[in-house]
Amino acid sequence: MSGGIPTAPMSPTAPTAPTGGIGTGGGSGTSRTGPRAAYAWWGLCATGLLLILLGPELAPHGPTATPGPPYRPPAAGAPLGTDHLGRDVLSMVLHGGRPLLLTGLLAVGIGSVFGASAGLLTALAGARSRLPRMLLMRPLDALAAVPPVLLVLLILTALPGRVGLITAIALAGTPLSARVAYAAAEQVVGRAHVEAAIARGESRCRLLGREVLPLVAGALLADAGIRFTGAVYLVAAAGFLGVGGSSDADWGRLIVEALPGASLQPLALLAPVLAVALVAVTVNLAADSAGHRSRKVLA
Amino acid sequence: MTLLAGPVGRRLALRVATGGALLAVLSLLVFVGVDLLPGDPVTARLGPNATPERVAELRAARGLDEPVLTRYAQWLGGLLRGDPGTSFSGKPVSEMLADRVGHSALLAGLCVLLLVPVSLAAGLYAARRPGKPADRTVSTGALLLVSVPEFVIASGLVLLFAVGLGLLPAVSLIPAGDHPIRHPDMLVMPVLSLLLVASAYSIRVIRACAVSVLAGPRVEFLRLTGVRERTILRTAVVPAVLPVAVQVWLVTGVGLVGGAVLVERVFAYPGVGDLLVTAVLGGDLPVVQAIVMILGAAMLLALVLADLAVVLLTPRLRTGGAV
Amino acid sequence: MTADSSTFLTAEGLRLETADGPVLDGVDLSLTRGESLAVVGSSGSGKTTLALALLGHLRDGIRHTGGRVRVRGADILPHAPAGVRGSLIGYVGQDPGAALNPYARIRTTLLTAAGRLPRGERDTTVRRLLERVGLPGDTAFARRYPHQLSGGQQQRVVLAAALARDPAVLILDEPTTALDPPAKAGVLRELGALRERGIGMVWISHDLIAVGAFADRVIVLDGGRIAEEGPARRVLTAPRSAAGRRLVAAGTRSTARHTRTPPASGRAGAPTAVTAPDTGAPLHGANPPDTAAGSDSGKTDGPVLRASGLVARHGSTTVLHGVDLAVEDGECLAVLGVSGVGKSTLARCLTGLHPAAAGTVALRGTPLAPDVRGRDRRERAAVGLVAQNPAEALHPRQDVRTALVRPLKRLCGITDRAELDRRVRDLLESVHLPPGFAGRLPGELSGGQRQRVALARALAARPSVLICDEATSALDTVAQEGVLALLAELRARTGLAVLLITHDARVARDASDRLLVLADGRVAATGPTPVLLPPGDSPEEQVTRLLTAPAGAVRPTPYDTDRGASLV
Repeated sequence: MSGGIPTAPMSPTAPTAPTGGIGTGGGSGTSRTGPRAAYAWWGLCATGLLLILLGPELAPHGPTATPGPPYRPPAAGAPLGTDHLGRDVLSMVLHGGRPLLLTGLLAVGIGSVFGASAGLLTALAGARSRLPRMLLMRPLDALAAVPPVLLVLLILTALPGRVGLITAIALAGTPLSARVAYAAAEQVVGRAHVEAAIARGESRCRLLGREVLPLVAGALLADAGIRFTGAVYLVAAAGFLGVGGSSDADWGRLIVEALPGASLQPLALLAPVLAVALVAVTVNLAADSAGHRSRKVLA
Repeated sequence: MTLLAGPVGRRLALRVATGGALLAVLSLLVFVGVDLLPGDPVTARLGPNATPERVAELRAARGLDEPVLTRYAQWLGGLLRGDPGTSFSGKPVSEMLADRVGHSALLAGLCVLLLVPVSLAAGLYAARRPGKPADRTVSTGALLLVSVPEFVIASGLVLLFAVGLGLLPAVSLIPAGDHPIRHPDMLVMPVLSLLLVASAYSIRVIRACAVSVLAGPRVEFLRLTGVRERTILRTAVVPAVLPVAVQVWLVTGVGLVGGAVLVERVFAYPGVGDLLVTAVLGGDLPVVQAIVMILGAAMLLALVLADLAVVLLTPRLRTGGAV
Repeated sequence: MTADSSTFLTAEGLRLETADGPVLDGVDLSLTRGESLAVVGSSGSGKTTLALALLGHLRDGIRHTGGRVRVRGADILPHAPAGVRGSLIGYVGQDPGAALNPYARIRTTLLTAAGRLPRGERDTTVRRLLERVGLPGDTAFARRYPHQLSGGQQQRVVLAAALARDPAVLILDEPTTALDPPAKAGVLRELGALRERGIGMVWISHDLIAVGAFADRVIVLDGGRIAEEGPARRVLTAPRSAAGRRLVAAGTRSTARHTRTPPASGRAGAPTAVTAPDTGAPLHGANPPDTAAGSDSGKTDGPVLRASGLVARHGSTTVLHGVDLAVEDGECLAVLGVSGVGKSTLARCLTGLHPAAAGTVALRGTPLAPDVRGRDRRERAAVGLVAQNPAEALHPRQDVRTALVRPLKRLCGITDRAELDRRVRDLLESVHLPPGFAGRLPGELSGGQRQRVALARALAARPSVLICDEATSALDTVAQEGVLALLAELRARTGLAVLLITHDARVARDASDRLLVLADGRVAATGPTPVLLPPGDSPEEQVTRLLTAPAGAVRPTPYDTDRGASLV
């Protein structure tokens, strides 16, 4: 509907992925395996989240400390061994998670709020008013044509550091959030109760807040979850490329630094690789199941 | 050729026009929008202790003291003539990109070439056995892979094939002036890691589409008429899946270049990745802007092609039965 | 159920179950060659499941737990051996639009159904099959795609595909339900011709009267069991089972509905005898709420609502091309048309939800702004709207009271809590819902109840005219009649003018005083309902006649064997 872009994804961490609901692991399997499995699954997620957030406090060594010689295999003081600088791999991994999650969360919060506002306002303005589409949706469509990694790099060139990274990731998620919000709201706006509210002359604020938002909130949250998957990917990628003001222990950075010595100390590579993969998969599964649930609300 | 004069031609013309308009908007965002961002690449690089004279000098050297719209007009004029400007290092951007863009495109192209048969076969295979172990393996695998960054998968592959098994080189050391196509062993892992991630999404889309077609009334009618499953797959399922799949393949193909930047760094492959990172760290905007515009144009072109493919593959649209 | 030599298809004690319980429970039937059998039942009786089981097909989630289905003595459940479907038994389903492969030309569809053929025989086979079902056999037609055919033509293609391998029996699952009246007649004609030629048929239908004419024997299915079985004539005239009597009664009612007097045929003024509401004040109607319902002098002469030259567009497509209409006080004007002619757009133009591109809407002679946002509070209150889909009528997270209170506050300016409560109670009462419903959420209401709440919401601001956009079409027959009766009662009591938008000629005939037939965004015919749809013939046929009569209303296309189908 809006421009020449089909709603296909721009990145592997994509929007509105159809799944069919079979074999999607713990996420959508919750309905099949009963509430106990669901609790166990959410409990596991919460524990993981807590572990990542408290990681820096739990780490035995600081992110710059070098408790041993480089490339030492696992030993008493360093259960996963040391990396090329002699830093404790376990401590580094524990230090790296918190900035990853918090940066991603902040960026997604900003991007989703912007995107959802643009999408909702456009949908509410109706199909016949072109102005909001021209001013809001078209620029976002243009932005969506750039692969997110490149958009992040472009913005980091002009605006280096954490601020640039957060701005960039927020911007990368905005177009898709806007489209999801627009699509969800468009369905709701045509419902008879919303039309009845328009026909009795309710204000735009009330229309949006009382009639539309409660019905699309689920879809918006599910979308924010998918956006968060993308954000985790982008933060890790920025760390991996060494841009965006990454901290010493950034998981992406740990991976790139461990690559040359991978044959000497495979654990220094394996640990951050598994950490990123686990977080990405967990976030994706959670977003997937949230998406399934939000689609049931209006059915 | 009568096709192009009819509804398809009109639709194509409209799409090309829309694509062009979007590209214009994109150029504005990439140049003027970036300029309007808070902060300043020059002061950010020089640090807080730089003297105002030093900042002004550098700004002048980079041509940043002119009004943004003037610079935009010059840049856009250059782009239209095929000249993406000059790097802050003084070298023409086109020269810097020359080989590297081709190398990156080679990775993405090879990957798309493999992506089409792999995702179609796996998607249809899973869809024909919904809920069975084979389907659950494919679907779960795809769901897990779809969210993992390519460079993480690439690193995993290095651990497995180079460190663990010692089968393949861990880095793509291609001699200067040589073309990567002459070193297929060095292409295996970069292409495989891109393929794993890219095909995960395509498989999910194709499987979901095929499952819904297979469960629909059309296939039921064909089965009730006694048509064989192979014929059903060929005449009813594949034609219904293709319009969706082609879109995903094309868009994924362009998106792959983004992923390629990361994978290249894992294998030290000589694509645009290194160049980009250097440019980002040095605040060398012209280089990054040029690459973003090239890929943006490629993506918009892919979308036009995808749209054309959908029209050509859907009889209702092709014959102008509906807009 | 003796399996004598002439028996072709049998079911013996067939039992099929879902996770929720049995769908079919001990069904026996047999069909001899050339026989025509009708299986009739209301929705949920398991008749489609039975139809598919007779082809050896079980839909997902259905398990075969007992009994057998045999064709010429060979079992086809749980798996039909190759060479049964298509070759021995053919299948025609309800919706040809959904059944035909949109990516295949007609020729391909027929050849796929025919199985392997030598190259040289293909053209003649396609031609023979098409001509057999009364379609043109030329190459140009065979090269068409399904979307280039009318609904009736599509169903003929399905029939041709089912006949491609000369089966001895056809399973027909409601083969004409999705078709419009002319196409239905055409397909029935072809099926009648096939029956003459000795093809056995199993007709699956909910309409006993309609299929009775084609059947030798009738089986009445009820809740997955056979309620009764017998010769068609006997079951039609003297059904023995309760289910059979219900089906006969339903069929008779739908064909004879027109003979009843319309529920409220009087103009405002006629039904003055109806008791005033308990609350004293009239619930709806005139803005000066002084007089009781009836002919009154407070109303200016002229219609409550008049539209002249309405033009509406969706993007670049023009949906309405200059529509004129007027609704008088207390009158019910029905707007009748098939789907896609712009009925809903008309409703939205009148309410200002879809601003008209040209033309005017006037309320008691005063022109209204095209966009609802430009209309003042009194004007917004005067036009009420009830929309089609009860599932979307109400906010799923707001209770009934909230839905009713909002228009009272917004349009009537009532803020006093006690007064609001009283009005909500009155509104619920006026649509025959108990006061306790005020606290309920839409999810706790049935479709009919939701539509009543939507009606109450539209009535809350005491509109002068109520626009009902297919307000009953998503409801089942009982709920539909309830809502229509309620509308008639409200009109009688309050003199409310109603614009009833519908695709259902029976609803229009039963409920309206005047009729306006819309075709292709233009007024095709208008006049008093009893004149346009006189009692007697079936209203569908009368409407077809109305639509085909005025020149230009219908565009005949080549190959259009089903006249009027191009309207759909």
